[in-house]
Amino acid sequence: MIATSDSSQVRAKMRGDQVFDGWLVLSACLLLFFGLLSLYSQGRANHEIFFKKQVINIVIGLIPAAAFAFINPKLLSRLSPVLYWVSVAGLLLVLKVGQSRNGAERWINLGFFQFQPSEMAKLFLIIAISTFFANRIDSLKKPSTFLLSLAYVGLPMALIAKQPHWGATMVVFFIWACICVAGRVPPKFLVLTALVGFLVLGGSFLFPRIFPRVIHGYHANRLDAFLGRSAEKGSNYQTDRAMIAFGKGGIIGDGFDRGTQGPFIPEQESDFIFTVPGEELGLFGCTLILISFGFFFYRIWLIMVWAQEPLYRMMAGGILGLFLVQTFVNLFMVMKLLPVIGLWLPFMSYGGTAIWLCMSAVALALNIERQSSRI
Amino acid sequence: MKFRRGSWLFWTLGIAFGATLISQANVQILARSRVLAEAKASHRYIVETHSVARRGTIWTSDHRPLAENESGFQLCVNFSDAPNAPKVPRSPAFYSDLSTASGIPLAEIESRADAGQETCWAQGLGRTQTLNVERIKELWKADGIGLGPSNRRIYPLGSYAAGITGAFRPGRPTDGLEGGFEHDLAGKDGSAKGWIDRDGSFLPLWTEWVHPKKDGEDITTTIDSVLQNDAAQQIRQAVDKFDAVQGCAIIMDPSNGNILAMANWPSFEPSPKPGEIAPKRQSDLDSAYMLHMEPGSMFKILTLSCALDSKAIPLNFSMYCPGDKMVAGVARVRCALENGTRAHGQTDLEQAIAKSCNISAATWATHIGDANFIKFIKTTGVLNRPDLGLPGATTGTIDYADPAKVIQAADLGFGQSIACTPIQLAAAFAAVANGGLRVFPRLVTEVGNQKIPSKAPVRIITQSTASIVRKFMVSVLEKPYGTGYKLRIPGYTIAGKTGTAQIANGKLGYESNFLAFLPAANPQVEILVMVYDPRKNGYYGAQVAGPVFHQLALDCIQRLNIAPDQPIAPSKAAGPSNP
Repeated sequence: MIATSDSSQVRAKMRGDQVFDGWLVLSACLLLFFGLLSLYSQGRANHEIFFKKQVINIVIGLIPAAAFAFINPKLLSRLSPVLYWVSVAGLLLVLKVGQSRNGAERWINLGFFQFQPSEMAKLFLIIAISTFFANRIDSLKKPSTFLLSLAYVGLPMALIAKQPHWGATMVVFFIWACICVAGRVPPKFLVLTALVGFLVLGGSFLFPRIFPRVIHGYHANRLDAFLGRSAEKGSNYQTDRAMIAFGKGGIIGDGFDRGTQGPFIPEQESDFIFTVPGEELGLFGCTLILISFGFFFYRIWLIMVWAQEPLYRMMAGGILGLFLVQTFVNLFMVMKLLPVIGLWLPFMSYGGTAIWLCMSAVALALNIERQSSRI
Repeated sequence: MKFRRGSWLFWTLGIAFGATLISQANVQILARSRVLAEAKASHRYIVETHSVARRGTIWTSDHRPLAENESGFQLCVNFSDAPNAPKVPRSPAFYSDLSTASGIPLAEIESRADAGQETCWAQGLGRTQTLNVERIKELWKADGIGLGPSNRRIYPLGSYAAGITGAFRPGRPTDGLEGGFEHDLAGKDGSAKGWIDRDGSFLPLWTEWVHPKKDGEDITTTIDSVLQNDAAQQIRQAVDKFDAVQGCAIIMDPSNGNILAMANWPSFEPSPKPGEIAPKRQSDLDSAYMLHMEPGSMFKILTLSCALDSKAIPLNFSMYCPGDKMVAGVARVRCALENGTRAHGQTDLEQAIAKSCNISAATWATHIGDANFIKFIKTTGVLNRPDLGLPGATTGTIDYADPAKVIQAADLGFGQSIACTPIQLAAAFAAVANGGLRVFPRLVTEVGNQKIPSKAPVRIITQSTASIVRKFMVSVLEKPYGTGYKLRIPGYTIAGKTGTAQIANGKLGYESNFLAFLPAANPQVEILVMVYDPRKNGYYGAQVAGPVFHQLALDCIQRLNIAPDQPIAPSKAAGPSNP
């Protein structure tokens, strides 16, 4: 309510000289800071060099961020067919020459670094889907438009699912859903789609013979483990370890750089980075980070609300959706509220493509805000 | 409100955010003790492991290791399929990589992999190999590879110091210092309970000792690594050259009984071969402290010391040596046959020592008397068991109940009818070198941080007697008629005594010995060489043991920086101007 009722006043204020959302940048920087802090301590405990590499990643990330901050979103929108097909091509390429890790092909090795096309697709698809709806603004209420958009997003989703990377598939789906909401597509369509999707996934899990190729073995195992159906000892290894790290941290934590659980937790530097502040800074530090996330979301929310043009609103909605799903799914996964599906925590998890995506998305949000305030 | 759905969407997000916070608080406050208790109770995170104590190192006095645990790592691989056990990939490519990294032949890895069990390789891996194996472990995610500190015992001086170190043989009786100081060296294995990481290493914060591990104590010896090596090399050459049964060489500091070198040959290789846990011993006899040897003519210096001290004979005592004589009317004594004659003619004390006259020595002994002489012999310590911390050291023997007392005394006079270990003999002779004090042979100076003090010396000979006897011993090398004349070293006055004893076990054989103090006036080292039963190329002490002494004396001069005590006479080859 706060956001919507006060938005006109705030917007008026913002429309003056200020076209740069300092608060958004500040909250993003705060999250980056927490992430680097965690990586620093994690790396010291485990003799890894993720911290240094991440600093380099952030510096490199300024290049795509600058591009998304200054290229007119309208131009990006006009390029959306190109962005869409580049995404599809990248996803096809990863299936062809991708590097396998933990049983999934997600990376393309470019020699000096490993590139994950599904991350790039997330951002490009925000622009592409927003443009798709913006171009059909008059026929948004028609089921045909909705179904067409589903087909439009379905192709890249299918390619990502084929890797298989269910986390990223879900993120793209959620982005699409958020853009639908922001674009004011009738909610019943969304509810219906969600229902069908849930039935297909649920069915494939419960009756693997009927839908044999939808869910991979290890996903079923993870789901089994999550639901407590697995008999195998250690099937919940990662999350159990995360629980212990959180439990050990308690309210005030063990203190910065004093964590001991790092070596236990597989992928702590990426998907399970939140366990570092959980153990070292305790509930106190975690709450601080969560508040930072909350504030960050609120600033993007404001951009979405302030946006006059449907295209901008949908883009902002897509960006918000991206960050929301990444953050909440990651946190819920780490806190054992969802099965482990491998989604990184924005700004905090280690990874080049991930951090570039975050920085670019924030830059795009800033760009949209600036464009909106110029109207 | 332009964004109408904003309100419910906003609140939905708010609720999600709240749920995150609440679940976070739940985990970190309410469920905290339960999570930690469950983790402990399930034993999934707490592991109790046995931790092997490091065996102590045996050091030389110049701080080189005589025995130490290999600093490398031992490779263990779990090829079994047991559930919950860390596994390794079962593929030829992995075996090939592991073989390249570790240097272990591929065929051996494959055959052990076929056995499907956890297996460890006895030979340690070097530093590079260990790093390579670690890389392979990471690359293949092979959790079943274990790299623990290798417990292989290595002996840098090998067979040259094996008599001192012995060999550590797990599960078998050990000998040498390894056996004598087993309790100190072994330490105590411990077991620890704690949280381990994926590699199996304990995390420091969560580890508690069930039984604390105590590493073994280091032992510091009096041995000088260079002299030990030289002594072993020389005695080995002599034993080989003269086809002797065995031999030993001892270098001692006569002032305190510290053993600088104690070598015997044959010896054995204490370091296990690659792939072998413990060495096989070829010889269980370390002659320096285990073998009974008859001292032979070297013993005459103790006889003379006793005779002079007890005033049994005057300093100007002189007698005629016919070469073959009934001493005291009952004991037939013969001198050694040299240059076609046994007779030494009219012989004073100096000549008797220099020429090694048995008849003179037997006469001195009969003057002392059997009971008095045996009493003196006891005070010298030659009959005692050397207290070196070495298992297997033996006492000397003498027949206290010998009915023919006079004959026994005569025999004892020139070192027969008595058998003792070379190391005790060396300690007894040290009294002549140091001015009359009996010292106790000492091998170990420190165990851990604790110093082992040397025992206080005991006076057994007067200082003047010791000095007189030493002076007579100088004639052995300095006088042309001395038995060791050919062994003198230019620039150094050396007190020496040769010894050639017949082996008493009935078969024809000899013991060739040599004793020397260097420099004679104030001896810094005592060298004792004994070669048992040389069977070719000669048997006289000066001939067999002498060259060993000569080389060792040169080594000691160099190693201990012993200054010359007389001008080095220009040799005849130095220039044509010499007359």
